Amino acid sequence: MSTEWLNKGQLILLFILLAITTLPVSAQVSSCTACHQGKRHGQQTFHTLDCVTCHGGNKQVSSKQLAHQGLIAFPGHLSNANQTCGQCHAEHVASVHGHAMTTARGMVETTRLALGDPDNGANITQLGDSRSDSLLRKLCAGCHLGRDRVTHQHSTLNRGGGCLACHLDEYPESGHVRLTKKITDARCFGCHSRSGRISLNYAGLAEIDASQVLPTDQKARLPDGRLVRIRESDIHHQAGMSCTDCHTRNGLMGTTPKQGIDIQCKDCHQHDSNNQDNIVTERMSTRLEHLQATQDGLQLRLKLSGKQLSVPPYNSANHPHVKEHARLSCDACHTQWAPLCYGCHIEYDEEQTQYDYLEKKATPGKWLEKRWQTHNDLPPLGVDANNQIRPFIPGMILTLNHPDLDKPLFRRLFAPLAPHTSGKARSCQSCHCNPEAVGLGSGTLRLTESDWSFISDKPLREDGLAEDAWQHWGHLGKGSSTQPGARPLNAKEIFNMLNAHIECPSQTAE
Amino acid sequence: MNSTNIDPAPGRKFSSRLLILAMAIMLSAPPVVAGKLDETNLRVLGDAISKDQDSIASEELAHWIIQDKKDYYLIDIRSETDFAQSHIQGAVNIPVLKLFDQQQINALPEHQIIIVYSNASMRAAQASTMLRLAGLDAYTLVGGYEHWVMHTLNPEAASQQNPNLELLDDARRAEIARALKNCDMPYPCQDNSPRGYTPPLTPVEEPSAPLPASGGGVLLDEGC
Repeated sequence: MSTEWLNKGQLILLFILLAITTLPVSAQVSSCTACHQGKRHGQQTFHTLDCVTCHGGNKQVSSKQLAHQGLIAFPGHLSNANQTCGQCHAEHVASVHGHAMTTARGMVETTRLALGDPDNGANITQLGDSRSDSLLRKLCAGCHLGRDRVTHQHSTLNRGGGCLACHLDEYPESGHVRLTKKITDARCFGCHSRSGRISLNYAGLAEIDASQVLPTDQKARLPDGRLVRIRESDIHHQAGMSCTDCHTRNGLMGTTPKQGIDIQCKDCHQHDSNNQDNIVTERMSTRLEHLQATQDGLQLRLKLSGKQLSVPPYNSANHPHVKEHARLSCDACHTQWAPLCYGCHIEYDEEQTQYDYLEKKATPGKWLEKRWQTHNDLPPLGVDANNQIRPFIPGMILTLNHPDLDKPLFRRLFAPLAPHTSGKARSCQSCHCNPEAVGLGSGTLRLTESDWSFISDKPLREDGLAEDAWQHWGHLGKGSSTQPGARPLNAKEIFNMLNAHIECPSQTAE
Repeated sequence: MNSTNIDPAPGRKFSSRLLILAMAIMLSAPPVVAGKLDETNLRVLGDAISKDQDSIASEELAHWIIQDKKDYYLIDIRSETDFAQSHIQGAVNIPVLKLFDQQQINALPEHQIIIVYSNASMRAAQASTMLRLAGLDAYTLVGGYEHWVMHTLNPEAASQQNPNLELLDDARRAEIARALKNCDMPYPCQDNSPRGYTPPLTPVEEPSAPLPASGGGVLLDEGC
């Protein structure tokens, strides 16, 4: 039959009429896909579920209005997760609401402490109007799982998104987002490349300022424009390991809200050889199913690539002075470097406006943050709340200017950190002969007869301490920390280190 | 007569196809390359193709890397994302779309061997042909990055997949793999997977301008 009697316009009209008359039949059979066949609306998840299981709505009706009643556009948002993902994954959805990545309690508590405001235990979505809460709203509250997000691209600037913050595989041009249990490090990068910069450190990328002169092949820019120095990455990164090869589901989704980090080095490197069939973490008893004890030792199957790695067991022959070093964390020695920022200036300008992540709009007042003295070196050691000696970094060495303050507020707080730059152990001298390792900053540490003396070579800040120090030579053990109960090494610990008969250059530790 | 069709000169047939490809590329080449096209380049290109001298085997490149040779310039024309995930050491990432920018072509070294690779061979062959037409001494890495990973970095897996693989003996391939992976520590060498995730990075061209020692500071676009 010839169609010459139809012009182009009539053909289009015919197709539209056919589509309209066919639609109710399709909708009665099921389905959302009768309409949603276009770009980004095809079903393509690893779940074999129909649309309404996650998105709600009514698939049995023909009109758009009725079909969309109770529709959930973003099932992955934490605010929807109880109704959506929680139908099957109730335990994880319930616990993730109390996890540190959702509440950001550490961030709230630390910021309030640093800026001198009282802490009432609020989480990141319950902030008030104090100075510290205002700063959190405008500079920090973009990083938490509860933040709703409507794009899914991998980016250092995309954060939040509830369950999909992690469980998103890809967002293809012609299909539905694909969910996955295999979490790539890219999903962690948006938030964890800030503050302690774990994601950067692990990949061997040390954030630097433009003032640091380096050959161009040793530096690069991140997608968000930050400048990084390219260094050797963490030994686990070199082996192809991703974040989730160590960080367990319980650690990341929190079966108990208080315990953020589940894994410890010893869970793999010093596991109980009498318990071959049930290898679990010490803290939360999470079964490490990707570890297998064999005759050749512990084998790790990488979660993303499926490759096998032999786990090198802890070897006491390589770890001398076990008794003296008993309180040291593994990373106290095995850290190659950590991000150390010794200068931060924060200013509040009432005249400008800035985006408020909780209000979801720009509101009056803008926080301006500047930093300087950025280093990436061996970190000082300190004592955490569990009496363990660990790497510490300057959590905040800041000067705050605010119209409500008569004079600038200066605070100096150091924070314990697992830098994620594991490699060969630092040298004995780098601790036992080094004033920076004990939190004094750089300078001359000298032994005269039986007494040690120390002279800093850095200018002093508002609190009378050198700009790179955590504590004063005359008041050892008194520096402040972001972690309640943590402190710098005290006099006894420092003199034990200095008098440990380590051969220091010229008997002068500098 | 045996009914099986045997091509009496497969190499010639392959070369003639490449010549046709080269001509097609030449005809459709953007002005940036066409501007540099001359008879000499075309003759040299045809000569190289006919003598199979326009490519390099991955094993040969591996030896060059081990020997720390500096007289070649290795270009990875895959996407920035692929490059960031893993690449051959020493490679420079110039995605194919950017490769034929006039400034980019001018910036390529004229007195070094240029080796181009992609995931497989096809796109790299097209790119290196165009670079040759532009007067550069360009070569294709045979098999591309997939071949590199499978046969050079991962010889054990390659042997399992193809027991008849005899490009190099097992010991030699394992030796190359160890050397390329810089195995001074035991754990990375036991696994043949690439390194962990690295975000896409862009090179920094401009020299860093020194800032004042104090009082300046870097204004951050968001919280620290």
